[in-house]
Amino acid sequence: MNEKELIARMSKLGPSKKQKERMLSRILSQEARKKPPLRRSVKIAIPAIGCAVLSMALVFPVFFKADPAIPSLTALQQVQPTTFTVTPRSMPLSVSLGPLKMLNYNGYRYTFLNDGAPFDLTDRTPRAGDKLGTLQYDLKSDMENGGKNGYAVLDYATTYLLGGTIYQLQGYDPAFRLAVEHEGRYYIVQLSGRTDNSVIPAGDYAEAAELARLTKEIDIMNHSGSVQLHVLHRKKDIREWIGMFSQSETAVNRDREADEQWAKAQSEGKSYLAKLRLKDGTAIDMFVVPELGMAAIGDNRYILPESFSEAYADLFHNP
Amino acid sequence: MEDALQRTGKDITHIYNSHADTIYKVCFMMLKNVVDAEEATQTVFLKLMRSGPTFRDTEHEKAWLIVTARNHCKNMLRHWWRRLRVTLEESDQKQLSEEIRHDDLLDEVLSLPEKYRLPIYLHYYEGYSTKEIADMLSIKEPTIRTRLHTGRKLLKLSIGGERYE
Repeated sequence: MNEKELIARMSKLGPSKKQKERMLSRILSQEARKKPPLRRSVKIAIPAIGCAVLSMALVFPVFFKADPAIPSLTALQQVQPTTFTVTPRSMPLSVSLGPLKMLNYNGYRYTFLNDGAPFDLTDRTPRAGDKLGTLQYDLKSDMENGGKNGYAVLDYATTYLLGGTIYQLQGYDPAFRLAVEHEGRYYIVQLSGRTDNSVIPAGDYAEAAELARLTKEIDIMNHSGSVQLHVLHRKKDIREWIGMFSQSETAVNRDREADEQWAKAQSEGKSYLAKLRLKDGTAIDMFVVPELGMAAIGDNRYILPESFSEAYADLFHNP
Repeated sequence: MEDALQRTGKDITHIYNSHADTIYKVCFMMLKNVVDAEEATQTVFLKLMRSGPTFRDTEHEKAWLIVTARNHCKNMLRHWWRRLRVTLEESDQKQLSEEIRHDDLLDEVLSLPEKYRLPIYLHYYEGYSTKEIADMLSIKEPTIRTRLHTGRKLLKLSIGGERYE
């Protein structure tokens, strides 16, 4: 075969005029989103897959019993209530501007989800027994005064919803998420760091957030999140990602040079956003800079294991 | 949250008419399957509609579409459901692509391992240099050269080295 023949053969691949028209009409009408009718082969496959799933359901428990290293899923379900959907309500304009909305509790720093929007927790309204304390220190004012009062490291200090009540949020480890009630509305805060600025180990974060159980898919996007580059939606892929991330080392002793490198990577488009979409409809933002082999969640920065870089190198590139 | 459509039908039709052939061929080279190639092509243009990236020029636009198509096809190939389905659909596919089926030379190209097919297509058909392909696929240039070399060897292609070396 010579080059001319090769090119001639490739030109035969199509699409035909009819195909092109068909695809365009589907794109324009967004029909591509609808599922096509089941084809013969798919119809054959469905019962086969049904049988396979049934067999797996019967066989897997045997394996779990046989291997004591694998924890019992039943036990986890008993201690962890099922996930639920948290729907953000529209945020009042008056609270949509200002500094980072965060609070301190139990030596940890939490940031308000959805930039401090209230959530509908009708089905999960915190009970009186879940109360953990009251937000009583005005961290925002203290920061504006140069931190003279030292509220930055003080529990119950907040930059938002001063006077609000902290509750345990049903279904979540309090080390990961809490609820805040303020004037009859509920807000959710999420772990972002420690008040002493030490880094939370990646494995501890993943465990507290139950990333392996709760993550539904991972969107790989450009830094600003405006362009989706890739999606991981298979459970196996998600678990592998989280497993490798959990092995990351904490980036301790960060100096100015390290911060500058990080900022430079961001400005040069070498930083990517991995949005971990959870089953409850919320998300956790992880920033990855493959060139530096580093990632960040909240205030925490991590050195990714080499296996992570090797496995996902081809996912991180801006077109 | 549903993404707002960033481009109008007129915009997308214009872009589609410019690049549909390339994107479909990229998808076909990766998926070797008419139905999936069509579906993937549609998805790529729908992504373009929703994500609304801005491009420097037409070449940048084309490169974005090729990379998106490649990523989407890789995702499809990884999916266990597709792997099972494609095996079951083999007979259906043969009916859908009569012209392709009777072409032994094209069969040879499509029989190449996946990692050689796309560089071969991008280099010989689209005319991209090895550096451009390396940038686009985020693979080192020497690797692309090796893949082209091996691909040529497998095709017993009676031509010399890369055209843009």
